[in-house]
Amino acid sequence: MDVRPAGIHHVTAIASDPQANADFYLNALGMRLVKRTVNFDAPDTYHLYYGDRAGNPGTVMTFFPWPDAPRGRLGAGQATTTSFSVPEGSLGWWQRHLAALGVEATRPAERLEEDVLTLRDPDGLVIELVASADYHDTDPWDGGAVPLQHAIRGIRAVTLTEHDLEGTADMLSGTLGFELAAETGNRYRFHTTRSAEGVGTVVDVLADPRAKRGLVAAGTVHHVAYRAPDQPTQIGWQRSLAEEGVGVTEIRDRSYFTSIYFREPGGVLLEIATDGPGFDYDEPLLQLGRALKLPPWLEPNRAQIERHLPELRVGPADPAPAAQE
Amino acid sequence: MSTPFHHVFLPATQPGRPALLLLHGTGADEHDLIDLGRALAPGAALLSPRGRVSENGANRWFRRLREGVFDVDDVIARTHELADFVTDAAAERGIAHQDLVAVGFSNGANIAAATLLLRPGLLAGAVLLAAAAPLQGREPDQVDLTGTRVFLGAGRADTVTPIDQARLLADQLGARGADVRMAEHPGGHALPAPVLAAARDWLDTSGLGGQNPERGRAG
Repeated sequence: MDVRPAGIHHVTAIASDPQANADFYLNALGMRLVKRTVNFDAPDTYHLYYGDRAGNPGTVMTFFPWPDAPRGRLGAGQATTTSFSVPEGSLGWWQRHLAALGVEATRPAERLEEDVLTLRDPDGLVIELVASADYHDTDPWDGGAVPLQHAIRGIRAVTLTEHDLEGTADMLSGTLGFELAAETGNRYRFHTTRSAEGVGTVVDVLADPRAKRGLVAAGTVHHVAYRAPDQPTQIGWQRSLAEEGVGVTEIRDRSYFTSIYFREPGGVLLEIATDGPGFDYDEPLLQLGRALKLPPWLEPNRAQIERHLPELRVGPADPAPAAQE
Repeated sequence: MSTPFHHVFLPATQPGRPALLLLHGTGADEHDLIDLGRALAPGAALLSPRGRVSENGANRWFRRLREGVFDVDDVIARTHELADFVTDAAAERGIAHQDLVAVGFSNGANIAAATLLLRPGLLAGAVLLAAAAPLQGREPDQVDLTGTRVFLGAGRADTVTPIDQARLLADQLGARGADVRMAEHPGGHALPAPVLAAARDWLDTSGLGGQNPERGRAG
């Protein structure tokens, strides 16, 4: 049977300084910190989750900030760009807003009928804001630095850079049920219609046989997660992947979802995560991200963990001067 | 002629297995539980329909007013609609009712529970995972479920469907004569591996699907 995710669930990347990371995603991109927790596999470091008001699947960008982490290298076998949806006509506002914060952003030519603004986060991670007519009104966060009419609607796409198109394309269109929707130059666009909210529906593959192999460290994507509606479905998909000879992990409890991990043929680490229980599972929706949350098995070590974590100040964002329309 | 449902049907590949009616959770579809069905009962026939109600694009079996509050009129109407379809599909495929076992998760488990109560005799048994008591006070009293076998998997930390709901459902089914096996686990709205294994063992030894449990499992 096919594994048929409803698009992207979240993207996880590596940062260096957690404060610089939070300042950028909250103040420059206007996202909400929906969870402040630790990397369950390395609890002396943060795991920070940003998203829309509730951290709905398809809107979530997460980071492992490792202070002093070396800068990674973008290249083949990596998700090299993460693209967010913004409403049509918003890019002018975004250009002024980012310029006022000293964030460089370039506006390349229109690509496949969408308007794109490209920028980098403090660690060099490549982010795109994509304005197109087919964005969906989800549950955008307007409690931060960006007003509702311009706020990010969710993840639109990830771009995978690959030496060889073939294996990756086979996994996307075969195993994972995406469809090849468009080609332009060496960019192959895969699409799914299975997301009810219309978020996280696009995967672009850039075929570049001459690209250097990427190095995963600060400023690069660690993994891309796709959506399973619930755990029984995830169990079935895990079985399907194993039957196809894909090396897939056991189910891991991430508190806010459960996860399985595997690699696509080009080397990008992929995950399938369940839509639930969600980020209000251990704190009220109104208070997301304010307190350090730990899974039950780490709670006994809270004092020790808190001693090791750097301070992270997340205050109300100053309204950006460019936000005056 | 019953209302058609989008569905997948996979015929049995082994004799003496139950036929599973797979009922997905909110937001999933008719394809998503196929491999779970194979894991639970290898070789069994699988009938997997898609819920006909859309909640903002997410497939469901019946309407709800909000999370945990069902539109019970709709539950009853949709249960009969699904039961009519299953009756016709079983007749068409030559599946006997004494071999038909529903496997549902969450919203799918809820409609399976409603089917047990409103259409006794359609199902020989059910595996209900993360289920609530779907009829919310409108359960029919005069239902004899003697001989119906039910496995309930429920999480004590389930925030979507509180464990009290699963316990209430177990009582409702047991009081009407069903043979109920309750498997509680410490987790949430999920299907932990030990519960999956317990459900598989329960299916293997339940005598459903024309097996003789006394004979043990055929190697």
